[in-house]
Amino acid sequence: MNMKAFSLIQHKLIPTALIAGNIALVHLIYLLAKGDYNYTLWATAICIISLIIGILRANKYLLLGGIISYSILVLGALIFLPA
Amino acid sequence: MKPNNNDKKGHNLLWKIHHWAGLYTGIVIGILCFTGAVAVFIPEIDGWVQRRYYSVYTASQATPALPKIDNSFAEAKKQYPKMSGLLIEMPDKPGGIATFSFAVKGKDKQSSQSYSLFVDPVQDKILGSRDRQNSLANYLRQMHVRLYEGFWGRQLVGLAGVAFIIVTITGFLIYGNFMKKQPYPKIRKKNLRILLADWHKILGISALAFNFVIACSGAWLGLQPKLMQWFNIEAPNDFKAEVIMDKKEDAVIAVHWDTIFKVAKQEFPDLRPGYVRASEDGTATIEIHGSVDGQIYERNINSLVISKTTYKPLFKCDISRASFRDKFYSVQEALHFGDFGGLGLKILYAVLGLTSAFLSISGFVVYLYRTDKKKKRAISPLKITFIYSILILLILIIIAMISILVGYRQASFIAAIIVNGTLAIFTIYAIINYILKKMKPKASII
Repeated sequence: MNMKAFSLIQHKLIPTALIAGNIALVHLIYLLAKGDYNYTLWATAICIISLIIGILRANKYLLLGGIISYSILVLGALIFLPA
Repeated sequence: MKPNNNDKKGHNLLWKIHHWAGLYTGIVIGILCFTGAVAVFIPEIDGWVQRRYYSVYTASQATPALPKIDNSFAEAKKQYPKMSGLLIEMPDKPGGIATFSFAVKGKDKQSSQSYSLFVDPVQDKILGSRDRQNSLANYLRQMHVRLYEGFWGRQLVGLAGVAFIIVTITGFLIYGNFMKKQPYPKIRKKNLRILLADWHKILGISALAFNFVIACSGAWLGLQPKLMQWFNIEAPNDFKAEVIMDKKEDAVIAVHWDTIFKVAKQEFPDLRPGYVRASEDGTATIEIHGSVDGQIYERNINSLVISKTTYKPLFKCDISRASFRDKFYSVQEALHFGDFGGLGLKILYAVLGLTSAFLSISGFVVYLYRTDKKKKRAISPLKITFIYSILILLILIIIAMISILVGYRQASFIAAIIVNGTLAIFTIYAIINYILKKMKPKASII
């Protein structure tokens, strides 16, 4: 792996994935506590799994997929928030 | 690709800010993170203390449609006819205990007494009493919110929150430069300094979003009273009722609390009352503050104000229908204390809070190791950190013991001396150090 790709994954994507992971984990626990077993909960869980595997395997595509999909999910949840 | 000089200068400046902000406020941030990790469990700890030490239980675990407290209130009024400033706190779970908190005014401030009665809201009877101010729950809250210092403790905590924001942002910006070719989450075990520095970086970046949220909401909550005063910010549930009668006349109006709960259920069905209080300022109103299940907003931010004479609603604050600004205002405390995701979220908050406390300790140890050769200290960096940590822990325990066993006022007095004394000594030391450094002639380059 060249230095540019390494720097992109290690210095940019992984920190961003960790930030998204922090938020997603709190979001998942909130949904579980609320007993809201709908598609948002499953989508959040899949995003977390993607982020964790992406971080541990330093996989650019899983990291990007996890970050982008969770960002869309959380923005959607905020826009269509009932209360 | 080599970094240019501007990039290098920028990173050096960010590192310097991270270093100095962390060094000068790290102890306070560490104390706040540690006390915060315990403070998230205040309701659970208080519930446990009530059951374990005051042996108060409700007879039934079933939730009645409406709580009943009229008989208990009549009994309390009989025992303490001069009660004032009554605050009725309702349980947030079925089987919980309600409390009547009030004061009985004496001739002066010193002879005034505050009381807290435990009430069973199902059987409608008084179960016991305690001094609320001297409770463990109050100690935990006061220590985290204002370092137990009543004058400007809250503002100091707010400023520590601002420093925490700076440390978090600069930490994020310098992370890449410090990791270089080291992949996440590799920890090098070359020596203690490198080991702790690596843990500092890995844990810091792992809990970064959490730390940022805690820092921002903590800074806001600490500086909130002053900021609200300076910028004329109003809380969403602020309601200024008109004064319609004499204060004394207002205070003696008999209130039927069971009817109040019935009216609240009709007017605001989703509201789970958290606390209620009757006016004593001539406005003849009753405030019912509460939460709506499943919302990520501050506890008891929703409210309903009812007329004390007609029991008709005068004001209703339903945060779910409020503006974005009001929602944003109301979300801060819940986000700070993790009070929206049950016990699971509180455990996560406590673990991440302890991680943040570790960051302040590891940062301090790394600093001591880095400057060890230059400063020629007699004690090893690890021993210095251990002594500081034990000393702080001891102070926290001593203040807790005084607060619980002797009294809140005495504990607050000692905490004020420690906080203000340390601040004064630290400031004088920093000024003298700065002047001495300036006066010292620089070594000439030959």
